[in-house]
Amino acid sequence: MKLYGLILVALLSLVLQLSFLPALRPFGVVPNIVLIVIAAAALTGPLVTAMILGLGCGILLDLVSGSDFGLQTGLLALGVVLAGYVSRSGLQLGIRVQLLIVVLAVTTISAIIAILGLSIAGARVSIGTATTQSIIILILNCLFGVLFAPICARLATQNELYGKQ
Amino acid sequence: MNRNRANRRLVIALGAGALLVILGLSGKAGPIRWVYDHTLAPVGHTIAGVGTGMSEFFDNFGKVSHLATDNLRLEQENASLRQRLAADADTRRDNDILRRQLGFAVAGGARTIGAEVIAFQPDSYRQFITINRGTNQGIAKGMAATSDGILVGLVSDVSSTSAKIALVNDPEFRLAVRDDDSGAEGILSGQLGNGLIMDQISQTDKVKAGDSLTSAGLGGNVPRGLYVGQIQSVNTRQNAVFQSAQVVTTLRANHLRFVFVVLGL
Repeated sequence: MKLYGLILVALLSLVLQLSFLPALRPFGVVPNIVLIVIAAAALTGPLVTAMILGLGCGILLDLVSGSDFGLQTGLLALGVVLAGYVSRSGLQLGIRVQLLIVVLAVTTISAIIAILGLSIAGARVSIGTATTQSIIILILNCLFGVLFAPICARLATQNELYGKQ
Repeated sequence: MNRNRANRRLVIALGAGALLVILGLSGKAGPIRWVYDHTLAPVGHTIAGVGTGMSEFFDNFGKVSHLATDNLRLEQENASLRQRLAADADTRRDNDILRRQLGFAVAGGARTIGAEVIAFQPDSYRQFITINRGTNQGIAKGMAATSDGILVGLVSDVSSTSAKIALVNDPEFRLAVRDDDSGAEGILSGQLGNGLIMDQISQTDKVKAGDSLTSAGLGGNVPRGLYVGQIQSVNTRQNAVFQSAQVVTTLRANHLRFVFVVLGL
């Protein structure tokens, strides 16, 4: 039952990521809530479940995105792998702190890749604007992570398909 | 033992993901896209409407103090545009008469097809939208898309039932444009963080703030004369080969619900 709940939450976050959040654009940016859901699932449940969800969501995001195909999939897969390392590192950190670490890392890497990619492609990029946008995205991602981590964690633990690890 | 099994499953999942990415890169992700277009996309279109409404609601709070001045400016612009429309109507009539006399076909309006916006770019660094029309409806790569009479972007990728449009404020957007008031031509580019810039304007061309810009129609599928925006300010440097200009458009990318793709003349 909770696996289906997790899938539903992932699909909902996907739809919101592709429609509601870009239309709303809080503070002029689009926070990444799919990353938060997938990272939370990876931190508290089986990695395989989170990886399958992450890859599925990533492929759908790439199909709609105008960025290079595979970028969103790669970032979500990276998020799952990082979450796996953080949760199994032995450090006694709460779910929120672990999620913040993963979200910070993946959001920073995503910003660097995006800005480097645009610069290499010859696009007009103002470093000041790009940095400001990236910082705002980072803050919003962390905020959403802190707010929604417990919900996703509750859905991810003890799913029936693979059992708790 | 459990850990080995879990690691094996993880590797298999990663392999499947890599395969899907390779399929997508080689252009064979059509079936997955078809499923998305017919399941999640319609839901996304409805939810985007909610997001647009909320965005406008919050935007309006910031505009209250400027209502009076904006109203006056818009009334003056409206009056000026009405005069221009009336003059253009005379010019169009004369043009048609002359074309008939010379044996040319009468210039007609562009053929367009309407489409709904079903998805937006899921990150902040690029500006793309996805519409629910594709090759089945005659849409091809490079075609122009307009909304409310303004050029909003060019079709960058198309499948049978949907198409992606790169918006004018995407950092990699490029289009040859023409200053209707001076005849100057240049390249319009998008910038990260919104805003447009027109550069490669010859130093001998006299462009000024307030000039209207339209598509130059130089090659490709974009016809000439599609309204793009207005020049906001001009950047001229004595020792530079070209001058550039900051361009402003009334396009609000996150409020787009419907666009019209120009199929041809």
